[in-house]
Amino acid sequence: MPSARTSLTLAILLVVVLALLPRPLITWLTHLHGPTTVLLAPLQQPARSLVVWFRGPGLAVRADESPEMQVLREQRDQYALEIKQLRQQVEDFRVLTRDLSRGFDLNPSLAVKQMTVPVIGFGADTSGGLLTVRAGRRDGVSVSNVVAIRGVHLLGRVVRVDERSCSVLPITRMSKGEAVGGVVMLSDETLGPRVLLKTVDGTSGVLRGLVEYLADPSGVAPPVTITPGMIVRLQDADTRWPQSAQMLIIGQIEKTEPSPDMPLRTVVTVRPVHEIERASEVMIRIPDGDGSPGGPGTTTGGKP
Amino acid sequence: MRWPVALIVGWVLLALEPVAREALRLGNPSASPSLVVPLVVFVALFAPGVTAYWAALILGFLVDVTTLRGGLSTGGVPPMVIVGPHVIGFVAGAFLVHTVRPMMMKKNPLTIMALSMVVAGLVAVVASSILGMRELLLVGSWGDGGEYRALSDLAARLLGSLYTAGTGLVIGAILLWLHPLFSFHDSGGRRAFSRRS
Repeated sequence: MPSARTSLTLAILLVVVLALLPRPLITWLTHLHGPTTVLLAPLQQPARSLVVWFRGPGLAVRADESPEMQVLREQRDQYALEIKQLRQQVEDFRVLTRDLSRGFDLNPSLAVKQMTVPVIGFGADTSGGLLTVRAGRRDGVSVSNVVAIRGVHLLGRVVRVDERSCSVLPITRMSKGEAVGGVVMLSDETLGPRVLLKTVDGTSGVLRGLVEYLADPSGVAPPVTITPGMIVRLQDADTRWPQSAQMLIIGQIEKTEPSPDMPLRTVVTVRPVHEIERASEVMIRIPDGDGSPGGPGTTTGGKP
Repeated sequence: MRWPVALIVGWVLLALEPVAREALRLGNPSASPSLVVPLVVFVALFAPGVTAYWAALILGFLVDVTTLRGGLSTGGVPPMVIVGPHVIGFVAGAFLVHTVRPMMMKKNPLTIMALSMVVAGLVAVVASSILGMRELLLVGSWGDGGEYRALSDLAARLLGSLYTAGTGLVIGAILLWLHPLFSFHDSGGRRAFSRRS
């Protein structure tokens, strides 16, 4: 029977070896992630909800907001403070119902199940970059399912599934080589030029990309002007984003600047409308018809 | 040391760590404080050496296991757990604290504050070095499939270690208040510059 000191030395040596072993030899360690996360979730999830409640939902500041809109927003906030808890709960349910129906309206030809699930959070070491949410294989979640905030704001996609939890890669934390295609909305209904967005770095929470040069079809009017405040939606059917994710909102244009190489083209900085780090609840969009069971809170929509 | 008490406190701090990191995140590269490092420091200040190293090893293991790395490209290799960066960092930190503790005023939260900052800095260097070495040495199918930004990560971690001084003060004060519950055998009567156990 080795002494405590010998066991400790052996354990440290084992860890040093594990730290430098190649990926194929340590993938089995990943099986420990799910149970550990589930073990910590009972405390982590309420704490996160408390912080989100305290700090607000994390809406991005809108630079182009009119004074009237700001007054309305302040009045709404004051009102929100005064209303009683029961009334707030009713309002939450109303918003949830509206978001669900809006989410289905984006792609009416597609049947998707939207499941509202709580966010557990990023790992203890935030450099990991993946968000863990409390829904897993037993709830019907699978790799590549799209995750949105309030039904319409694209958060990312599922990259790993455990029995009771899954890991989501947020669009703002993608690797440098990864790009997401979007379309700038000139108005609520009018699609504008396309843009290929990439992360600036892993922690800035914004995406940047070069907007396609789009002249007026008649050739008379000047090229379309891209301004801060415009919404960018996902339009990336060519790559790995499924149909059920198309036209979800990527974010709002925060800044525009001419491209250093091509002055006629514009580089835009896009920030998600909802801060991904502050989401306490997300919706997983599961394409229907795959036979996967729906968990609690699952709603079906789209084509009947 | 009473292991159940240490494990319960560790569980609470580990659960709150990501929440606190996100809530208190500042700047770009984003600096965020650690809640677990002050516990490593606290245990290393009061517990016998082997106990302190085991506690650091277990806490580091749990931090590593709860963090998924790589997998940051859709359709690429799936994310994975890398055990080592925090285990080795925490054990090195516990060793450092255990070495200098005869010179420290152990029952002062400011001691835990200062040592938390130093240990978090050490963990930052160790973790970034290990992840950087993996990025350099392991390529292709052996690699982690991620895109490790070593310098920005190190900068964020080092700034976070300064920030950890703040949480070290608060958590240190709470842990010192809970000190009797831990039942450290060598906690009483230690004076500055006494011989190490």
